[in-house]
Amino acid sequence: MKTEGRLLEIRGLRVYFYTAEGVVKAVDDVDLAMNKGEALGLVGESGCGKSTIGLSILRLVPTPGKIVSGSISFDGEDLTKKSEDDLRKIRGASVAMVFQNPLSSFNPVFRVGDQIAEAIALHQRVPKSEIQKLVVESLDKVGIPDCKTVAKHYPHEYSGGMRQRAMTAMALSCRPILLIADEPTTALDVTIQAQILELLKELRKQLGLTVLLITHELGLVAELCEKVAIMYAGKIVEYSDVLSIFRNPKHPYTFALLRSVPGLEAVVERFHVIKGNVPSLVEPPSGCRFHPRCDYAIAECAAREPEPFEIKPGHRVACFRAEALELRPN
Amino acid sequence: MSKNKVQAKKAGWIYTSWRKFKRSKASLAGAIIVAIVVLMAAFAPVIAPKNPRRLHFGAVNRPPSPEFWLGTDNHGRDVFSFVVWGSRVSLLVAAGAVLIELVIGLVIGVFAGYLGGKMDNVLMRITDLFLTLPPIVLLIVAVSMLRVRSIIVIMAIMGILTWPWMTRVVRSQVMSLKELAFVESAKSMGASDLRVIFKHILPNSLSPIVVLTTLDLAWFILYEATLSFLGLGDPTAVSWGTLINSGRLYLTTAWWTSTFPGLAVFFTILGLNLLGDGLRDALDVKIGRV
Repeated sequence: MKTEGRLLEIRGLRVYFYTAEGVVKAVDDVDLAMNKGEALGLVGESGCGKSTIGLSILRLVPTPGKIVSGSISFDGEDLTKKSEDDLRKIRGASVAMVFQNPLSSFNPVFRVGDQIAEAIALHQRVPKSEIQKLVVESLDKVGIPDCKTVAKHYPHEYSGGMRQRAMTAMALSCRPILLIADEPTTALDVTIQAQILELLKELRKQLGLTVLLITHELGLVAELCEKVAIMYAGKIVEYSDVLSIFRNPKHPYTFALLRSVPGLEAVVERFHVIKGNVPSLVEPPSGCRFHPRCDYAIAECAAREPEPFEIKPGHRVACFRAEALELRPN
Repeated sequence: MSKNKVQAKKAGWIYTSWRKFKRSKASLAGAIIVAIVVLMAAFAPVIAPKNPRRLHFGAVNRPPSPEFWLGTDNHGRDVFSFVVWGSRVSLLVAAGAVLIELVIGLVIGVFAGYLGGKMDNVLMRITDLFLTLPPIVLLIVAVSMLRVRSIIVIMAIMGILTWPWMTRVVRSQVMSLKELAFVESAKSMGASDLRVIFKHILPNSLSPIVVLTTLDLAWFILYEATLSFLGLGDPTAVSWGTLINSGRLYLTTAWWTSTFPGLAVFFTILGLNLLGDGLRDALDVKIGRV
């Protein structure tokens, strides 16, 4: 049942963390699909489970987390059924990940170049001299100047932006098909953020990379992605192409998110704030998980859980009132 | 100076640690003392004017003189030569014991810290059991039960009895390091658990292990001297403790017999402790000891 051009298909994924406080349902029945060459933005507040999805794809969910059910099909193969040995061959080689914190993503006691070389040596049987060439090449590709010298430096000699570039270089060193970027710009200042964003755009064009961008910044998504999935409390509440999400959101949560971003044109006296807090994922609210914070909630929202449905071709939303509501951001 | 610069380029943290280390006079003194003891042990045959085992029957309990620099003991052995050769036994036993402690401590510590869960729990309770008993008491009991008292056996017993301290330190290091971003990123690039442990976790936990090793060397030297003093050491070995013991009865008439090997023990342990403390500050480690 391999669909044409489909690269990643997540079905009914549940990832639970078994903590002392109870079972945290970080990812609860999530469906998500990506086509080859596509860039998908996975957006949500901190702690909504978006990073966990990224880690699940690589099967690197930290203990006490566990993939409870569901399938993650990558290039037609179910990753949840792979052995650890097989997974190691996939990690880095066909699926690579860039992490949030470039400051600590490199081992402080080894040279950056050596660490990238190690990653390459794990997946490619090439002679040492060749590996060095590949290291320099990959650093060059992400726009690091004077790569030959810089490769011999230690991580602490790199600036934050350079480290994130080098991380990206390492992730791309084995030419993966899918790049999972988990908040790649969060720890960086704005100008460096813009540079990294440019870099990702550039690399997508050059390599035809499929990118899963995990972020809480809608601006980033608008710049880089074609598709967006909005996540709330372990569930995907809305999925569509970028334009529809920004112009015509159907879920009140998406709408609220868009309204809490300050625009350039409108002079707003106060930001719009979503009332309440992110719910506990140990005991999530009944029915629709957003209903306690939703401005449009009705009685039904607390009673039953809304099933996601296709409101327009390619636009899925999980809200009872999606069709009735007129949500117009700005 | 230019050599220092080259080193800085080669390995930044080694250079900065050395600079921090150098700043403290006490640490430097410790390093120098340890260096002297090590040199003494290495070149014992050259330095010692006499065979330490040789009994000079005509010269018993002689005070320090040009012939016997630090005097002779009640059997007519040359104290200076004995002290010089004694450093060999002390260092050898301590080094061997530390090596055994390191191997056991590393294996169990990495195992417990990396795997966590039930395995960790079981291993740590065993460790706790050992930690509740003072090692010197265990050591005396273990050695007295054994028929053979060679330095190899004493070394092995000391190493085996003290692994829990090393295990604790290694485990806590592994536990905190395995959560770090670079471990996650290495895994995401397809690194296996063994690779993660050897390339990413152990090299980063080196500092506390080095510090504990230094401090434990001092403990082992003291333990070995204690055992020899109590007559539980290797009777054939030239050990500081043996000489201290043999001079014990003549302290009022021939003070030099016990005093000089005693000073040797004192300075060696002082040196190792100063060195250990210096390393701890320079490498920025936080560990505790009983």
